[in-house]
Amino acid sequence: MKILIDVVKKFKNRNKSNFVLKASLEISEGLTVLFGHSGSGKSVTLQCIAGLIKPDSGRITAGERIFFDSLKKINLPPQSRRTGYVFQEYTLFPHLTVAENIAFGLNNLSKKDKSVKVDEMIKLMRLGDLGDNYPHQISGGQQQRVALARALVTNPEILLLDEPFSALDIPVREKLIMDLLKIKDEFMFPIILVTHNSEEAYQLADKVAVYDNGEILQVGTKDEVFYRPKNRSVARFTGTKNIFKGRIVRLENSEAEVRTDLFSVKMPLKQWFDLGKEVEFCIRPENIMIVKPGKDLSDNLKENVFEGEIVNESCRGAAYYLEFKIETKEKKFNYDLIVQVPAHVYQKLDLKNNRFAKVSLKKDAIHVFE
Amino acid sequence: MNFLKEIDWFPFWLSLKVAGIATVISLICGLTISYVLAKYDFWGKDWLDAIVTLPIVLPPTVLGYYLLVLMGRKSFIGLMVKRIFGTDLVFTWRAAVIAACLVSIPLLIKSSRAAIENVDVNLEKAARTLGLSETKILFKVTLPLAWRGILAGVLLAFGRALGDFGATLMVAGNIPGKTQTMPIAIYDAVQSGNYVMANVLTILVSLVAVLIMVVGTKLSKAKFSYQEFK
Repeated sequence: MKILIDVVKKFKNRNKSNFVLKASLEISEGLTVLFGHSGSGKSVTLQCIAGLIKPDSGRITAGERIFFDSLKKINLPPQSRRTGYVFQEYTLFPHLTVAENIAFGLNNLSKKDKSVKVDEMIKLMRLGDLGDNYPHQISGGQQQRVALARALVTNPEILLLDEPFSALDIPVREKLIMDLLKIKDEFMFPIILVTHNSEEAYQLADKVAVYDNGEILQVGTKDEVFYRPKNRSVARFTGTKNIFKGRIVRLENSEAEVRTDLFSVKMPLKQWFDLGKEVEFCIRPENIMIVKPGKDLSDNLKENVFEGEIVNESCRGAAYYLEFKIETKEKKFNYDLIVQVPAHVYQKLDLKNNRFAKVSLKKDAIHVFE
Repeated sequence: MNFLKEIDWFPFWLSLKVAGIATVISLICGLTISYVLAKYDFWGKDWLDAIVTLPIVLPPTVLGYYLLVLMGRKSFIGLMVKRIFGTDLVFTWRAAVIAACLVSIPLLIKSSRAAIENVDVNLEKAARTLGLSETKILFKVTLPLAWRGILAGVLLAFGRALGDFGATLMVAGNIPGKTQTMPIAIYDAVQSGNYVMANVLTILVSLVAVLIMVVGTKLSKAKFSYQEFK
């Protein structure tokens, strides 16, 4: 099933400038992540699909069904859209038990059929014997699984998830993400998930739409969005970190040389490259290698090698983020590159003590904005 | 306890009847108004809000005078009632009910509107995506989660209705055995030097008021208790 969204929604604020959402998006099976800062319009898009917010104009269709069409004056109520919606703060009915919460959307069934379906869901979502508990008696992760069960039991055609993991602790989050991936394989419906967490987006997405200030900057597979961002903003949001401006100084058969204020790098040639043209390019921190002293480098790695110093570092579990200062006369910035190094490499090369190092910018991983 | 026998209990029973009926009417009208105020945005909402809370600040005599003008014997409403029911509205216990409604409804609206607004809108949104009609959502989500605040409002409204003096006096008068409610009877008793009557009724009214305030505050303060649903 294909979901087509093309909507405009204006919000009037008394003091702030008006916020306008302009979203145009095509969604098919699999998991689509709407990714961006809070207040960028991704959540509003989700609520427009569910029918909880009415767009000012545009059209939303799901397969053959028209959810909203401002020209034909169609606005299907949320009750008949058959979407499952999961909120950030669980949003379980506090006056009902877990089982009653799950059964809430099962309206026209006999008591027996209801309990069969509820039991099925309780099993699927690993809720064991929590059926008689009230929401406040169970943990956050369990509550969110109940919310998922409550949405799934009604057999929705689309599953909408609004920051479903952000209120959860990391281990619980990881488990729930696995649950969600399982659901994705089992139910085969389009899932749309809103998040501001880039790791979550990368981990879950088949397709990513990057939002900024009410607009969709880029839609693509996760590799497109994360490794070949369309512009500086997308690169920044997806954590590309190393973004530079430079001028093309040399063109060859298969590669070009671009000089920035600090250094010059070689990158794969693009058709539209012209000598002297100014370009912006980026490289993700994980595509910059620390070169082991004395090691022979493959062709892809040996061309953009720079010497310098690690000036700062932060450890994020399995990886270190190093602030790297290239050795030049320029002292404009505190650091020039952010390099991500797996923890075992960091330890092996003893980077804690060996602060002077060589880095290599993987040629193929350098991405130029068009 | 011999002195109790000398007391005329009519004002007490009349007050209970008037306040009871007035509270039921206030509940039906007030709950509707508070739901509309809590859930909908429309032109003139601020004005409606101001008008329904006005009785809190207006002197009861002013309210009473309004009512008198509005439903007096020569007014349109008065004439209609006379034609249909063959009786006057003013200076009957029914007028006291209307006066009690008017002074008590703002308290009910204030309390139940807050309670309805306090229900997480996302719960109602969730119910909507689960396919429940708006009426079902009202009865299965909103009211079950707001009933404490509504009940607190009902109690306050009842207390206020029970204690009204000014508005009732203006439209229902002070006819012993017909329209004389407790507060008016107390005034009357003090004026005529019947201090036994005044003391007993005063203590009675005070006890009811204290009880209402204690229970009402408890209801509006207490966190949502899940145990009660078991």
